[in-house]
Amino acid sequence: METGTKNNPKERAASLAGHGLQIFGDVRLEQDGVIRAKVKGNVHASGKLVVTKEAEISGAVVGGDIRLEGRVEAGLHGRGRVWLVAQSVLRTRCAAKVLRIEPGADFRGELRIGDSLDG
Amino acid sequence: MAELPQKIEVSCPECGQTQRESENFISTVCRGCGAYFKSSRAPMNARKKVKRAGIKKRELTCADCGAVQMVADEAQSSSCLECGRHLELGHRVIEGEHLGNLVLEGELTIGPKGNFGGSKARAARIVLQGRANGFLEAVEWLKVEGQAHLRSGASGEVLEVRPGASLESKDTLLFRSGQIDGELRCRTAQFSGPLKVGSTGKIIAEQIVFSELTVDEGGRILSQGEARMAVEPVVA
Repeated sequence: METGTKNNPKERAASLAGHGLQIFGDVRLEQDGVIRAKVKGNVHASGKLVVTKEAEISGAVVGGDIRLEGRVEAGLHGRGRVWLVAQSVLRTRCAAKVLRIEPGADFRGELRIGDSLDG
Repeated sequence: MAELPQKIEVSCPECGQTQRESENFISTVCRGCGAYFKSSRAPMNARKKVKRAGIKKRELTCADCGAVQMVADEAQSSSCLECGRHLELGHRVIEGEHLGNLVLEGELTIGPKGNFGGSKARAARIVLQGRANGFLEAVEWLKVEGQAHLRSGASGEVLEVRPGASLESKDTLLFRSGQIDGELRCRTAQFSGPLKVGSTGKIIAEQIVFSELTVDEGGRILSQGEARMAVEPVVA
């Protein structure tokens, strides 16, 4: 499943995949977004992305700046800043230009941080 | 054949314990309480410096056996009361090859052409610009300022790799925190506290472990990583 967002001013600020929702398939956001759902698939955002503490994503997450509060199983690739807050869980991989992992965040996997390591 | 100096019995001005010393001794450490005192036969100008009642002391822990004793602030060396190990309290600079272990309470500098060839060096502060074949233990900090190489790893409180400097370690690094502004290449680096990679910093490792990580823009890491709650490093 692909979830595109409409070019509506109300939806421009943030695209929400709501609390309690389960999505089976990939999610694509063409602007900044907040994910609160459980996603059995990958998430791709063109802009900034917040993965809230209720969210669980079984696939990989790609976005611009990413703030992770929930759980991502198959890696996270931020084209800008990536922030893993306390209690967040990330497995497999973390790629970013700038990274902050707070004490209490749970990460295990490959780290690829910095401009020349993007590929 | 020269005549050997006779032994005389001296008593400690602090605790009164008696012990035998060479008749020519100038100063010594009491084997009972660890107090540093000078001979009553020492030159007058030397004796004047010692105010028995007001000797400032500090705690000294033997790096080998862990025994704690009190030594005078001004002492430059001492011996462990438990295991007898000689303890150097001053600073040391290694400019060439140094064989043998080192235990310093001061600062150890291994210069650009220096090589520490002993199996272990322990100092409060270590500045590394050259090489070390043996294990380095920096109680306060280890600063890397040149193109440095470690063969047996290192441990301590803070690891700093300065801008333009590089550290290549063939064995594990165990520190409480790290500030990497130069290049660090190693197998495993474990930080029980925060690790910060500055804008000129770079880490290439098989594995890094930390409780907190900050990478500034321009900083680079390529490694397997693991974030853990603050844990005490396990010294190999």
